[in-house]
Amino acid sequence: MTGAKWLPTLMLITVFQVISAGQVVFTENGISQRSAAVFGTYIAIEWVYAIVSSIIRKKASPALEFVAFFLTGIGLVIVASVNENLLVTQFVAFVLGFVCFLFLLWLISSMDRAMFMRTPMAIAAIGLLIITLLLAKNINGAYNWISIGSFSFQPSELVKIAFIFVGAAALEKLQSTRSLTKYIVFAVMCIALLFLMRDLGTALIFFFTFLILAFMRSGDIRTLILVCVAAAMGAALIVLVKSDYVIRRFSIYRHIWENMDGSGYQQTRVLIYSVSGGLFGVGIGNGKLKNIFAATEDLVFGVLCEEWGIIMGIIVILCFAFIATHSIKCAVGCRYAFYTIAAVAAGGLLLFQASLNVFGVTDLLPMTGVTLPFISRGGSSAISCWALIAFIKAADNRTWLGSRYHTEVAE
Amino acid sequence: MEFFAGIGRYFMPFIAFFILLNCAFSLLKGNKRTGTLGYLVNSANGDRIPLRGFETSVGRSNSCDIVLAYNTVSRFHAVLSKHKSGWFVSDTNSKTGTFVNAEKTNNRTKLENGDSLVFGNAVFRFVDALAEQQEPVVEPAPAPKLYEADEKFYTGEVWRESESPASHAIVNETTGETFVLDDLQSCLIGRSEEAQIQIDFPSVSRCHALLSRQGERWLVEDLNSTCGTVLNSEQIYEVKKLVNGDVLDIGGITLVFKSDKY
Repeated sequence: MTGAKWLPTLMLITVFQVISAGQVVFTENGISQRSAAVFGTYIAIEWVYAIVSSIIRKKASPALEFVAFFLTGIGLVIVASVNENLLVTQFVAFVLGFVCFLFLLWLISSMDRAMFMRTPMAIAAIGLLIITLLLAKNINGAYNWISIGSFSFQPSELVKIAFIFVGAAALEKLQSTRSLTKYIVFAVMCIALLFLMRDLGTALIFFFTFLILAFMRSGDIRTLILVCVAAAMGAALIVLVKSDYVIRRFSIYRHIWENMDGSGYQQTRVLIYSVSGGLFGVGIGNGKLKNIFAATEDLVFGVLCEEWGIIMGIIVILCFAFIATHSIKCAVGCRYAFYTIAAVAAGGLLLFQASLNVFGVTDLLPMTGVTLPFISRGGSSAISCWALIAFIKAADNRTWLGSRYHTEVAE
Repeated sequence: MEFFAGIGRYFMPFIAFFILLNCAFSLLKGNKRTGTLGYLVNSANGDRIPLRGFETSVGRSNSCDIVLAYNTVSRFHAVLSKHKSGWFVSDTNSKTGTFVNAEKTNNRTKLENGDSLVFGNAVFRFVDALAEQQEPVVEPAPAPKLYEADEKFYTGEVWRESESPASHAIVNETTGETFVLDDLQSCLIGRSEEAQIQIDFPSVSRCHALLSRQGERWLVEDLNSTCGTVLNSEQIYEVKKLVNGDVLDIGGITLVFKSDKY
């Protein structure tokens, strides 16, 4: 999708967003000006970005951002249909995330700059997690939120960016024992702090990302088996020590129908209402799932299936699969090992997080309370997802044609 | 509201499908293969090892892009990288060091077409594919290739044991001469005229070292020479087994042991 080929795709996206946003803008009480302004600005940002990027990076393909725009658009409409008051906050979070995406892309365009930033990033990430652990209040059983006045955010989401940034390294440093040791210490500290916060879902995502990074760095599957065995033993130890906590957490898994008005309430409602949605859904805003706790966060996939239909649900899942495949496709022939490692890790992280969410609410995996990337409501989540996209974008050589830091591709 | 909801419900999945289809083609395309951007020419046997990609790691480990099975090469020895300003080599904390035009490098060092590049004891000449197209460098005729197996080693493929009996040879790095050991039971190296491998060089003793066959393996021992025999940068005092790529230093003359099996 280079040259002006992006035009039809963006037009389709715009039509899609006008139709979907139209259903929340034109309400029975007349036109909601606030929603209209937000969606108007959102579509304008898409067009401005596409036009500017097609001028600056003539040969770059904006497909990845288009998929992200498409998913974010769905998320914004769902937020508007469930609780319009939260729409502006979510939109501001998207704008911040988009700025982060552009900033990170600029930051890693020069490898020297990226290498220089790794240590400060690592220290900032660990510091942020420690501060969270000290200050956080218990929200939904986990200590992972920081509140400053009326503004609150989830630092573990932002640490995801640093986790990948620090995990990827230049080929020169990749195999040196010092660099490896430093990284392992950093990763173990991050995951341990998340465990202490009882943010099991995010800890699991970090562990999975760690496995990808370890494999990408060493290319050695045997080491990974060792890591997994060690992790399994560690997990067994935790179960022995804190058995009641873990058992309470996982007892509901595969037993949701026995407690459908108790602890299986959310999952059973997701399954029941998704069925009533059928292929094309009951229409935006007509669903019943939106009245259930965390409808726009953890259960957003259920809302999507109920109100938009299962076809949309499958298309959304395919989007994540394509993002992850794209990161792997770009890993070959990449300019720097740093880009390869970061892109595959970011693609894997997004896919893994989406799977945890979707399989969690449908009771195929224990529910861990992670967000669906781009679509779930949540400021920190939106920022981190958009920032992670920058890593994948950087691995695509088409992004850098004509850049002053990069060699031309021999074609 | 009615209009959007009525049409939207049925149209949206189709539009979404086409959006995904349009993007998927571009997403699944990925990066183009870079082709060969340069070569490392092995001075010992004239092998041209292609550099395919912007960054290439060199070392003894199997996870390196170019696997050099010499004992003097560290597991992760060095990285060659192509930047906008040209080719660079960086030593990655190797034990034996990386030398560009006989100068030891510590930081990233720029490479020019035709530069000599030494990893431990392995000597290469660097060839930039782009520069070579513009002005081809006249290369000295490469010594005839010894064994097909050598090629496999460099391209990182798994070494498969050949069915035929093992074949061994000694290559004189200085002159490029090859001495095949296959029909011999033992082989004397020295300045003496009786030596099978005769090296007329002052620092080589008359009977300097002895290679002897034990089954399919070859052994080396020093014959009390004046300057000593050095195997892979270590002086030897007893009988040692030889493996492919072993480097023997006989009074300043470098000999490389080649084998297609061990």
